[in-house]
Amino acid sequence: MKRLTKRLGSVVLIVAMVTIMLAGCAKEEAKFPNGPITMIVPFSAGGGTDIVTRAVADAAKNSLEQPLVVVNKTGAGGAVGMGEGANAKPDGYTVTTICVELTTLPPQDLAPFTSDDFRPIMQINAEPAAITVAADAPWDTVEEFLAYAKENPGKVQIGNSGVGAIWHLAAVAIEKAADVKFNHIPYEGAAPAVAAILGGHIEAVTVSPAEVASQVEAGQLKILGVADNERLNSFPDVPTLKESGYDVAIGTWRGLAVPKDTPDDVMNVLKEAFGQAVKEESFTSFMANSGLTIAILDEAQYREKMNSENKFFKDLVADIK
Amino acid sequence: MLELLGHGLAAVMNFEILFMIACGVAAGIAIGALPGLTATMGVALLLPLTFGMDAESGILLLLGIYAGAIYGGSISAILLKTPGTPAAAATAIDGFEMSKRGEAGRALGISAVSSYIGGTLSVILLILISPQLAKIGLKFSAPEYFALAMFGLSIISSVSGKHVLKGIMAGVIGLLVSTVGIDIVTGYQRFTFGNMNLFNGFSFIPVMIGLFALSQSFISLEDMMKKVSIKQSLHRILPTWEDMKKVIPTALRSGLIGTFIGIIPGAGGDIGAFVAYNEAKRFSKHPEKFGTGIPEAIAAPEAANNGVTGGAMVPLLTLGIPGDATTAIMLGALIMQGLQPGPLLFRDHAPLVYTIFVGFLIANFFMLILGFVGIKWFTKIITIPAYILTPVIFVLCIVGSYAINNNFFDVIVMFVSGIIGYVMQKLEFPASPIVLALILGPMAERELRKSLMMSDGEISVLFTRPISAVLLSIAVITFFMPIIKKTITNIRQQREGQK
Amino acid sequence: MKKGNMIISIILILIGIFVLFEISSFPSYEGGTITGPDFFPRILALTIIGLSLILFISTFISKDESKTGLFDIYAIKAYITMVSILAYMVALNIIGFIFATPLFLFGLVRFYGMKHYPKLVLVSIVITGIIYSVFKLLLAVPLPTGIIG
Repeated sequence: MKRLTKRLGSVVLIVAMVTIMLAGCAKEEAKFPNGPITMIVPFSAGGGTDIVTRAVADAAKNSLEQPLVVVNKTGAGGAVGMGEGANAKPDGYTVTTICVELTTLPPQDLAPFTSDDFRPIMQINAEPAAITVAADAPWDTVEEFLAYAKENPGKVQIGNSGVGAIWHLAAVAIEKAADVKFNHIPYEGAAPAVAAILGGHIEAVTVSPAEVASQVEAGQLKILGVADNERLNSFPDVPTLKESGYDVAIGTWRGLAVPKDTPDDVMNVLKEAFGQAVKEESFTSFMANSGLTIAILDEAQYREKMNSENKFFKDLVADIK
Repeated sequence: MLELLGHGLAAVMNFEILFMIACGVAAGIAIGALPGLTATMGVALLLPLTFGMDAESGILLLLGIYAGAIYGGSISAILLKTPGTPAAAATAIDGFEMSKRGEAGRALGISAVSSYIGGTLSVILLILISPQLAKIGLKFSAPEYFALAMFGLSIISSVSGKHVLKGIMAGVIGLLVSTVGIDIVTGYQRFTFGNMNLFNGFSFIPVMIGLFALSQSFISLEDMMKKVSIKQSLHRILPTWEDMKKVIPTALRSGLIGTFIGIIPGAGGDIGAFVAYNEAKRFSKHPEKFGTGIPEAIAAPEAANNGVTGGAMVPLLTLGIPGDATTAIMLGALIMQGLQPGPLLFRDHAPLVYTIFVGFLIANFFMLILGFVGIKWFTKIITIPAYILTPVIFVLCIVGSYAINNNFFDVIVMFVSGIIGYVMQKLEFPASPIVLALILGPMAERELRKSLMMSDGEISVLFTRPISAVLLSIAVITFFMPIIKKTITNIRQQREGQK
Repeated sequence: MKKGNMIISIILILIGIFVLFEISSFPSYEGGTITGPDFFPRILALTIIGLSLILFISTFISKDESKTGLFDIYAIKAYITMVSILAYMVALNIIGFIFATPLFLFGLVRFYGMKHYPKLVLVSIVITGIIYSVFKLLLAVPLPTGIIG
């Protein structure tokens, strides 16, 4: 009788311990996040990536019930910030805003990491390259422009935001698709390139529509075509390059990611919170007012896009060397 | 337009906005005065605060910080020979000399007045003729930028004071250092040795902090041992009439120079200050006194760097293209508020634009008032014993350098620059040429190569285009004049020595 | 200044030679020599070598006997300070700003001559607190945290 009681006692004890442990674990899981989350922006304050991140962080603060602290870690064209984000602890407390540079820098040996070092949460924003010329330029369509470029190899001066930057790569991609040769003039960012085309010093730029929107609306510049799969909501009259027969879809994008070994349960919390945030009115109206396009992709779609871009840019970069 | 100005004035005259402007200016002065924090950083740091504010308050807060910080940089430049912002690097030259004589209050007063004149002049021009001014800015393409950069570099021989050869050598070394990084034209990595932190070259603000602030602190340690102390005279806070007679014309001319440099996208307060310093020296009846601590030598750079603030807003508001690094951040602020800067801003949001104009004028005025009110307190700072002040400056330098990119590498750069700066001071190598070289070197090389890319290798394009031809000619004159003068002085001294 | 000038001239000449050596492995641009990444550095390296030679020779001829002051007794303070700043920088990365800074301030202010220990401790802590609040709390500037905090 005594032995049975003892046995029963130990079983009860074990069951109790296990229950408490399980309860403790479950409690811990439900507790993410239980502290502030850092959001690393690899570019400087006031820039496109920065303001998109701040808008998302602001919209997400209700869903997560924890402060989201935006930190700018600039340098090496985004490599410093993204590098730090990739090497952070995979516990969900360090979210990084990733951009197209994640796929364009590694093939140029400019980043010691690749998209495989991240687990994407979601893509938020994407802007295609847009072939933009002066409003009084002699070309009204993409075909006319590229035909001219074909007849005058190396003569058409296209401004970009820097050698190896996405808009330069976009121009190179267009060159390949249309079998033409431009004269690429590098500038310190998109804004000086836009200034140059306004001043009549170059013929065209291939930056995002958002960066030329106010000039286009004012009638100083015109967009001939966008390198996207579908027409833009902001410029529905502008044809895509695919419609004109050139198979080019290239542009910049921004999204959120965490280090690659982040566990699923943490991921789900983040996906849920940010997925809700991008639907908030404050966010959608902000993006609309800023002329930025919301383009949502989930983890699987995003991963697929990055993988195909890794290959695409590897080939493209080999061409510009 | 008068009607709109009236609306703007009415809109600004409410407590909340005036309070925002005043806070911005005060914060800006403090940020600018701290060695290690710059105007650009100040605006970047406080940008998120404006997210929740309405457009007028948010933008005017940032403009207040901008104007205040550009003036504030002169405070530490004058008191500690350490420019609080790059734009005050030229002020440090003569400002500190005045401080050494015990006239820090006088220097601060001149700086405040000049900053006010330059800033206000630039805002007036912004209000009256921004579209026309913007057109001038757009005329600048690669050859013109190259010529401007060369003109800026030619000032090296002028700011070298007595040691022209060493100044030029310092400039050349600075130019070599500026080549470190990814070559913008070819994408090739130069002298980076695989270090990711060097991909964009040496971050120039840590270099400046180290070269000026840190090295000057090392030098001041000797005074500590020698127990040297200077009494600061504070009889008058307002500048004397004699001073004003010299300061006002200089400030007006320099403010104009600053405004025009600000209009050129990509050229900022640092360039403006040096160019104005150089021009003031050129137009002065006693150029040899520059460097010894005279009013014009403080008025010129301070008027110009505040002149840049209004000028840089011209391309930002009219074309949507920032005129310098700080306005680039303000572009983000405008977009965050749902405003697209560019030609349509004037059409769709005219009342807001004019509110900003009037607010900016008031910001400059507040800067003048706060500047004067603060002089007494600022000069008290240097009465803090050096044995406490100097270590604090060290900490600030480190924090400031770290704050730029959140990268400890910048702190290391700052430290090494500090040691190099110390050695340079001992060997009588001037430091200002390095600042000029680091800022303008990349611009010069890049724009020269772009000019050739755009002209198919035709270098004559530099001389056939009017603006670039003029700037290059001025550059040549500016560079060689001090050298020729020095050589003549040397020959004369030798002759007299032989007699 | 004689010795100082001559030494620095030699150092700069060596730097110039190093640069020339490094750029020999730079590719040249197909657009012609002037737009290559090697053009500017080469001109600059040659210039600095030339100017250093001028400095060297003119120092040789001149009768300037002034000293640099790099090896004065007064300079010792500067060198010790430099070493302590280096130590501080290392400490920042190990124990973080909040702990490293008071130690640094304490040590340096003591070294510079203030001997009143209670005041020293107070000053070190208060100043650290002020800088921390202004930068981290007010301006949201991240400060080095190190491994511990």
